[in-house]
Amino acid sequence: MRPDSTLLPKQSRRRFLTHSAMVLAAPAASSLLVGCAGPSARDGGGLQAREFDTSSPFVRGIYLDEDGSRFFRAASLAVLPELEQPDAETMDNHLRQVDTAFVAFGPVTQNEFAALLSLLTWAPTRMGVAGVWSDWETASPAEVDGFLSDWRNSSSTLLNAGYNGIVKIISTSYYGQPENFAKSGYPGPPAFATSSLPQFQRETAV
Amino acid sequence: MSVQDVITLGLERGWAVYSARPESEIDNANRDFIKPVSSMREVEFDVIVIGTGAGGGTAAETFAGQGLSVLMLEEGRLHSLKDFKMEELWSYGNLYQEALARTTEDAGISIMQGRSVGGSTTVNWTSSFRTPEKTLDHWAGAHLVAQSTPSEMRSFFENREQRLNISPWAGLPNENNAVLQRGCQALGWSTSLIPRNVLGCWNLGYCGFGCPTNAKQSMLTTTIPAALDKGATLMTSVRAERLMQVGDTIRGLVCHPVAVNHEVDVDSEILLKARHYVLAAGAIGSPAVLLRSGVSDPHERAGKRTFLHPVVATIADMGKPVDPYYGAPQSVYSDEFLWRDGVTGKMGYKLEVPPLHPSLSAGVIGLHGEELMDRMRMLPQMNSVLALLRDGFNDESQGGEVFLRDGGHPGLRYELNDYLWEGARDAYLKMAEVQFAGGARSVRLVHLDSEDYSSWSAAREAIEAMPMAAQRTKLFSAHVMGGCAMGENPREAVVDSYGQHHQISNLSVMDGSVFPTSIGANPQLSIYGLVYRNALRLAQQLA
Repeated sequence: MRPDSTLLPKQSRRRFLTHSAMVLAAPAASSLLVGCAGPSARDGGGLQAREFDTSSPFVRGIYLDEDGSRFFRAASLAVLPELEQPDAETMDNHLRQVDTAFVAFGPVTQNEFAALLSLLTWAPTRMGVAGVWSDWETASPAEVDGFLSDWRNSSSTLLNAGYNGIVKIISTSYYGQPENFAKSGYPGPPAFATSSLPQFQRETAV
Repeated sequence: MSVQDVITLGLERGWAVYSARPESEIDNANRDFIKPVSSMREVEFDVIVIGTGAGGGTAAETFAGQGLSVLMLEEGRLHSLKDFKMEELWSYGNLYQEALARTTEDAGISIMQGRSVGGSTTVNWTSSFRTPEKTLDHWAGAHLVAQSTPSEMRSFFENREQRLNISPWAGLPNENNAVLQRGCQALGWSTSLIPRNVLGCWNLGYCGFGCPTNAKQSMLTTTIPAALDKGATLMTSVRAERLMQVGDTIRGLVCHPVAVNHEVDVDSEILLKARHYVLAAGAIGSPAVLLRSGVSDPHERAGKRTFLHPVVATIADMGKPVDPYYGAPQSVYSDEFLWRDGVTGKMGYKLEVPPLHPSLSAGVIGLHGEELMDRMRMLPQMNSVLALLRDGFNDESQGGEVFLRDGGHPGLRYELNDYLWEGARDAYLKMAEVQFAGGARSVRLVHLDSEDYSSWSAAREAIEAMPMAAQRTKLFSAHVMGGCAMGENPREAVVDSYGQHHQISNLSVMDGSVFPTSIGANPQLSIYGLVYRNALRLAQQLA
């Protein structure tokens, strides 16, 4: 599945650059995703037959390759500055969740995002369109924040869509994880329900 | 109260349930009872129903009740109470189309659609409205829909209300809904309680993740178990690839196994046959089957005029606990502006609230950095109001178009125009006004250019100047309708007023895709009532 779904190189890059050229000419409709969220890694939605990388640091996943992982590590720190404080494991779990979400999205969104990642991880376009001069491993949080803000405030619908898509997959993956519920003050499912419903009991009675 | 897993109990009784992709069932709690499709002996049926949502579930029970042999096909998997643990991310990945990442082609509108046995009824928020009389009258006049006047439809809605225990919510609205109720009352706007399809509801708030108590009277817990008890067969993890047309009839259906994440196993073919074929794959799925099949469509109507009830939303800081993730998600609505400029004038809208769980909320807020984290910290005191914009009633609202992407995956093109933006702006104004009237401390739009406004006058001034554009104005949809329109004029409609295909003798469409416009209300009861009537008639013809 990997080579097919990561699809980074030329074809998709060319495709996004075509889009980018349209942006320069006139604000064009994008074909980027504004995804919402993905599955939990609890059981991978039937996907767990594939191997998840559980090593630390997270280097690559099923969908994300090394470049894509580096980008999401940097972007996640800018979207969620609090990720920096706790520990490496929290970031690794988060990136694993982002990767799991991408797998679950399926071919349409995977292909759209491959085009975006291709643009963002190829140095000339990273500098030209994202305005980030350092590579993602060394870019400062301020630099990454500047890139996100530029895309948010841009008059280009395409860049707005890129911003919305990047921010959405990172934030929905993060806040949906039970270990991060406290960050939004969400107490989780009501205890009276989990303590009495059969599916939460160790021996599921029906 | 004891809670029974009706699916597991039925499987233990020997229901005929097969998976086209047994390897997908490895983590399914009911895997021991789900048979591989290779062990299925019967491949010819009276009726094949493609899809198990509001339309397919209703049709399947009706056919099985008339003694017909029925095969139900579902591209998602069969889940049950065992899997419904109030987990947001698990649900999005397993119970929604494209793991909730489905959007229109330009990503201008995010689309929430169900994808498991029960379709969207497994994950909807239970709001159950009859088709508005104005909508039915408009269909009769503008779209030549016959025998579907409010008085002709009444008994079918009543029947489904009884079958699915639909009645106005009898409990207290949760605080999220109470904000809308209080605001409407303070402003003198009409407001009522929402009828819900629940029986013994625990008022938990997790309808969107698969009801954890089986209280929701979805297709998963009502009509589908009933059909299976009457001998119907269910096949999951299967995509209806193409109908094989010979002359004016369908002679077979070619299917492929499909994974949870939509990867289709094109090397494996399953050939199925029936006397009659019923499309109920939803308003994106049903036109997609027609387009993939190249079924006769002399006037090129398949996939045209697809409607979404585009949704705009606002969020408010109420300054006190709201807990918008707990309690019946939707119990209060206002139709004050649904027909604000008549049926065919400016775009009207229905006001409701959405439940706010953390992942979805983060996606809706859509910011980054401290701005995002600050908003998320106030989730427990957040209220949100949404407006369902009624599309398809005006010449400037022609809806979208379903098309096929590489690999036969469906896409939806939907143009955003000034007619829609006028409605969106008006809705933003009314939503902010009602939130302040309901006690909000500050309000912001779900819009890239919004700030937090601390008074109604500040919000009004900002909204009047707010740029309306794709991606900046965040739009959502949970109601995909149209694309296989019904009506007596074959030049405009795909099927007749009973769902019978205009060109093909043994093909019907029985789901929300037959609506010639949007509904102007959450559509599930509209689908139940219409499909029940049409399936009864077809069953009598086939019996």
